[in-house]
Amino acid sequence: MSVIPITLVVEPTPDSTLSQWVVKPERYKRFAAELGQYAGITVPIVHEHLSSTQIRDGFVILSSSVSLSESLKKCDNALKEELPRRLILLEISRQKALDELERYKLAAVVDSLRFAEWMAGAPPVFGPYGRRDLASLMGANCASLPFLGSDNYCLLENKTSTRDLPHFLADYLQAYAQAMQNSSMLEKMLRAHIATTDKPTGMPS
Amino acid sequence: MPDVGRGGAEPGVQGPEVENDPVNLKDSDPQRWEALVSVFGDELLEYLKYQPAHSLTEVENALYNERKRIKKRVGDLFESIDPNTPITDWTFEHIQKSENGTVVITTDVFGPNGTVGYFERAYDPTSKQLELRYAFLRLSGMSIGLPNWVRGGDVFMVEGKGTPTVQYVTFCQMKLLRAATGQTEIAKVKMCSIQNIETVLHLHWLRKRHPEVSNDDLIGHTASVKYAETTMIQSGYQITGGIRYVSDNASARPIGELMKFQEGGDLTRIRENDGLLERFGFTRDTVMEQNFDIEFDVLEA
Repeated sequence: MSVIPITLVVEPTPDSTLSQWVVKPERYKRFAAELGQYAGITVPIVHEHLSSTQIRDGFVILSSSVSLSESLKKCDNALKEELPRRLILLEISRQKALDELERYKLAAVVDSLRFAEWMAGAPPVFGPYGRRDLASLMGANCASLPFLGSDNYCLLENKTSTRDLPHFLADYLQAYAQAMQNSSMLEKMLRAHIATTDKPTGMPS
Repeated sequence: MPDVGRGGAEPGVQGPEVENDPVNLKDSDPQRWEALVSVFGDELLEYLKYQPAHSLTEVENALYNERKRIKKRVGDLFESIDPNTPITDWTFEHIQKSENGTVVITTDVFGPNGTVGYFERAYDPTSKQLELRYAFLRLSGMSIGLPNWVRGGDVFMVEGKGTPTVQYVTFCQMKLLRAATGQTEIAKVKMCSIQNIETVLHLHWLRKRHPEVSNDDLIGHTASVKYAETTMIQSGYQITGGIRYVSDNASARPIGELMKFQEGGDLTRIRENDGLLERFGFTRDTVMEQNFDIEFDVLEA
């Protein structure tokens, strides 16, 4: 199976009023190291604006002091268009997680409370918010409470209690990448099929 | 003796026969009952109307505790708290973010003996709304939570004891929100996504017992509103108008699902929740509204 790069982007604060309480890249050292260990890669931590990153492939985990709409504003149109589906928001409020996932069709969200639980060593019952259709493919369930899910996404729950958050996220991203690949192949097949069947009558196929 | 009437359980409320029945409570120990009536009078009536009561000991303890609750502003308490001043054995890791104009402070609190909690508050400078989003003294699946009291600042809310942890952390967050926005005025308070098990159970119990009363009028008797009221009083505000129960995000589900979500398999929490179920006379299968919001307006006192 091909290894997909993962980069953790910590955006510098754009606003001087967000002074000393802004997230610093060091906060994510352990998380990036453990995620990389499970994904079989090195996960670099980049301290720059989303708009200036040169990350053109792989997953991007974003921690920012501003909302995603602000971060995307300065990105070029191509990046704005294609980035969200390979984007994981890190440490956003649980209140906003499902709205942001549905609005941008993101890959996943790790909310602030879940991240705090992982840092504190709480039992690894729950993972990131991710796509509903992938839960069963990676040995997970969707949490049953309605406020932990939306049409397409839900808080993923471990069926076994051995996977902590970085491990869970690594497994999820692998399942997600596979689904994207399948969907891309399906899209190509459909396009080819449409191109064939759309040909005017009497033309050789 | 106040006219407490015969307060047997409403249809649909399970629980011991004695629950909130003054006749049964009196019969269990007439002398002690009379003593309680003479000491607490109308407070006893109020208690039996809005709180489950299974024994005179429970009632007596609760009434004494309610009298001890600080309902007036403690001078300089809020002013004396400085988020930058460390407290022995405690670490506060604040993170400030912006959500399209709303400023959010999340705080990981590391207390004595490896305890950890999580708090999230937000302030919208345009609407002047303070959001009390999450306050977890104990994280999901953890047996032990933060201590209930912090000895920080020059002034304590309760002399010799300290300041309740929920209030102390919220005061720090309110000060950071003030610093970030340059604004001190709060006009409205919103308590978001109420998942406090005791509050959810209590509201459901109140609805069964007082079906003729609106949720707006019942919710004020729950622990969550009392916490928020104390926070606002101690930071220099008073509630104006009524409390509003907002059901936009609420869902009616078996309470056992929310309990399981918070318990994370931890036996201590399972036992605690079983105790709460027993107190209110419900089971894990009882369907009740949860994840609702509570709102109220405030004015500077």
